[in-house]
Amino acid sequence: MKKTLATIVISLLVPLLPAQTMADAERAYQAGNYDEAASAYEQILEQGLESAALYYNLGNTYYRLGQNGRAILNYERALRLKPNDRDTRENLALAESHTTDRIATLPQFFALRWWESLLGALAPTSWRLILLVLLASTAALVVLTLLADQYTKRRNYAIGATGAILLLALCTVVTIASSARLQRHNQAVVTQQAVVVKGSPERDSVDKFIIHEGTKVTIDESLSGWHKIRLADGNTGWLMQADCEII
Amino acid sequence: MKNILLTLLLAFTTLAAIGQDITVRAPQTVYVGDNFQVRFEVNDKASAFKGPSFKGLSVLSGPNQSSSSYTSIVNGNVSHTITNTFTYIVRADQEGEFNIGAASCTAGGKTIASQPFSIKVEKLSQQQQQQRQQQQQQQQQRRDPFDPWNNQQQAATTKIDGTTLFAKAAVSKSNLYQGEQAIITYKIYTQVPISQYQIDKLPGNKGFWAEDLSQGREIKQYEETVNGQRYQVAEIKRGALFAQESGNLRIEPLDLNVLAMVQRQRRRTGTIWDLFDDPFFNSAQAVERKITTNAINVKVKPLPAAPEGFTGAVGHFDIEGGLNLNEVRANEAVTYRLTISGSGNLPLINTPQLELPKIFESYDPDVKDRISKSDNGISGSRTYEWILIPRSQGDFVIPAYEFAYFDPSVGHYVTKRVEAQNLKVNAGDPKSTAMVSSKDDVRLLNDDINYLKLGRYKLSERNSGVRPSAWFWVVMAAIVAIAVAATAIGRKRQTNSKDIAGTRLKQATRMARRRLKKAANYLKTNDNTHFYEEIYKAIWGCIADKYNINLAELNRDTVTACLQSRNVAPEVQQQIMQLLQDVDIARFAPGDSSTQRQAIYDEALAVISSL
Repeated sequence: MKKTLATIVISLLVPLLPAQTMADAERAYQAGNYDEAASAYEQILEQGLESAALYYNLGNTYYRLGQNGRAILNYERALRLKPNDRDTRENLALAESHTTDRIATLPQFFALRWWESLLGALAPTSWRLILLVLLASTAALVVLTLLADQYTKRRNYAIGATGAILLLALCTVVTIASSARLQRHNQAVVTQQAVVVKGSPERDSVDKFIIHEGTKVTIDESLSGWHKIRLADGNTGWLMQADCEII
Repeated sequence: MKNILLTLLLAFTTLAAIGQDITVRAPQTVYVGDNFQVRFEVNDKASAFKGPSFKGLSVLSGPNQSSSSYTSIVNGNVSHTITNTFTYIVRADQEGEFNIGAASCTAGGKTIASQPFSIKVEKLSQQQQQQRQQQQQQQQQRRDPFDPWNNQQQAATTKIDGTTLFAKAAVSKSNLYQGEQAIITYKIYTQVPISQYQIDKLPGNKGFWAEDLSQGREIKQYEETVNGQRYQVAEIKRGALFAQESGNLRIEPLDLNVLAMVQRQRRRTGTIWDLFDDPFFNSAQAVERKITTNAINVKVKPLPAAPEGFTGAVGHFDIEGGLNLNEVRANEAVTYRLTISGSGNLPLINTPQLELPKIFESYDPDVKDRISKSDNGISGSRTYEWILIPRSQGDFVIPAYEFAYFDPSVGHYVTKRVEAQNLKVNAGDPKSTAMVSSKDDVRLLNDDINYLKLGRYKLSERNSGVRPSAWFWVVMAAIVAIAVAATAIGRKRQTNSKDIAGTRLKQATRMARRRLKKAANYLKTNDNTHFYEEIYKAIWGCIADKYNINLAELNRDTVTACLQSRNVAPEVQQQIMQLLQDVDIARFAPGDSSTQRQAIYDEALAVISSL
């Protein structure tokens, strides 16, 4: 009775100390016990906590374990939170260079491409900061416009304020869109060595193609146990949910 | 030798039985254009030989006389025989049957004559003509002393079929590993003499890499008994085969074109001439036969999973090598050599990859093969030579090189090793260093992931970044509030500063009245100086305030100009100027009455009110 109580207390206490777990994971990684490090990091994640650095470290651990798919998954997750992290981008590129599938990316309309890269350039929190700065400058310009007593001054301030308002509008849209993007989990990484993509969400349906560990897919739709996926080259099919992990 | 002697003696006795006669030896049938011999043989000393007429045929030469004599001793019995031969060389010019008359001569004091005979001359068909030409050529070849079949003497058979002439292919191993060497031999088995053979078509063996082992070698011949029959066997071709893929492979048959010599069946005359009835004297006929060897099916096993350092070598090998120097100056070349020797698929070995310290500049190796072909296959050695140029000084280790090969005789991989070697690189010749020491790009040696992010990074609740935090809204509200407040305050200030003139205007009358009130008090107390002072200040102050004129610029001229610009009525102007003048005069003129002061006060009040 006492023992079980102690266990419960400990099991309640342990998750409360993510900093301790983090230090343990780092030590295990440095000692080369990658299995241990990975489970420690996963433990922190299970508590509903996250951070770009945590995902990055977990990605490194899986890379060392040779689980390229999971490494890519965690690097991608890190980039969602911190899109312009150099280390993560480099490691992701390295991990992706070990993947089997070479998928030709469909050419995208250039404006869409710019939009996507704009959204991905900064995390929503950074966009919000920019939004506040823009808002402050816009407000200052508007106030100046309203208070200017000379015509030329007023005109110049008005031009500035108009520009600032346009920028602010754009920034608002980008911020909302990037927040929405962060909320939308519609991409997944294949975590099994090789998986068969089916023509329909049934076990005995026709095999459409085979993709390998580490390949990134976009999820269009989900049914019980199945994802309807789309590859970068536009091919679609149904993939078992167990074969991939959502970013 | 004994046998031959016996045969000769036997023949001799037969001849003796035949007695004195002229024997004719001539072909029964010839073809148009043929040259042939007609021989008359007399078994005695012959003289006064008279040849027959060769009507219809042309005699090219003859009679050419030749003689031979035999002496034999059998059981102490000495006998002596002379044979005289008269030979004609005749050509058949036209078709037809020609009767040759009898030849006669004197022998032993008697005149003897031969039997008349006839020769049939036939025309050749085109096909036969070709065949003959071929045969002639082949006969010439047959006389080639290097022809292995030339001195073959055996009982000639007229029949040529699958049992007297066939070809066989055989491999040394029919169950082998991929890359393992197998020896294939092609043999001709024959019971008839063969003048020539020709390989029609070399089989292209799919899935094999083949090396000819019989090139430039003599053809091996021996006898072999197959199914109780003796055959002459010629090994016409031998090759080494290396299977390049696994599975069931087929070695294609070899097609051969063989010319077999068939003797023309001849009636045994029972004379001594039967003695010559052997292939050497025979007018043998060459017959062309196509024969084909059997196809062979070979089972090829794939190699098991290869260890590191396997470069495709299958067989039995040894490796040695190393650096030629242990000490070298920077920028001077050293040679690293690897020699793989043994038997197996040497020519198919891939170039080994050396893992050298990066300070070495190295080039593709120089490959030298010393490969010998024997009946047992390919063996020899292959040498790789790398030229290495160390670009900086220091002590370096050339790592050990491990060479793995598959040994099919034991069925597993064998790894042989060239030990690691130290190389001391001394400082280079400064002159040569200067030449090469250009700046180099930093070379990426190995790609690896960036290291962990250490330190206490902040953890946040999952998906907390999606919704903006409270601070965001607070700051946003603050910005808006500050902006609104700033606008409001600014506006107020602005209106105030804009209305300084208005304020003065508003205050002008008030101030003037206040001053006038003071002046009224001074009027009552008869304080002359203060009264005028107040009146003066009231009027000038009122004008300055009303028209927003700076006090420093305040004088009569500016006031006049100002009043005029403001379109003040001329009588009011007049009144103001009069009042100002009156005040100035009254101020400084002493002894004035109180009534005058009252008048000025009233006037001032009137002017201020009118303004």
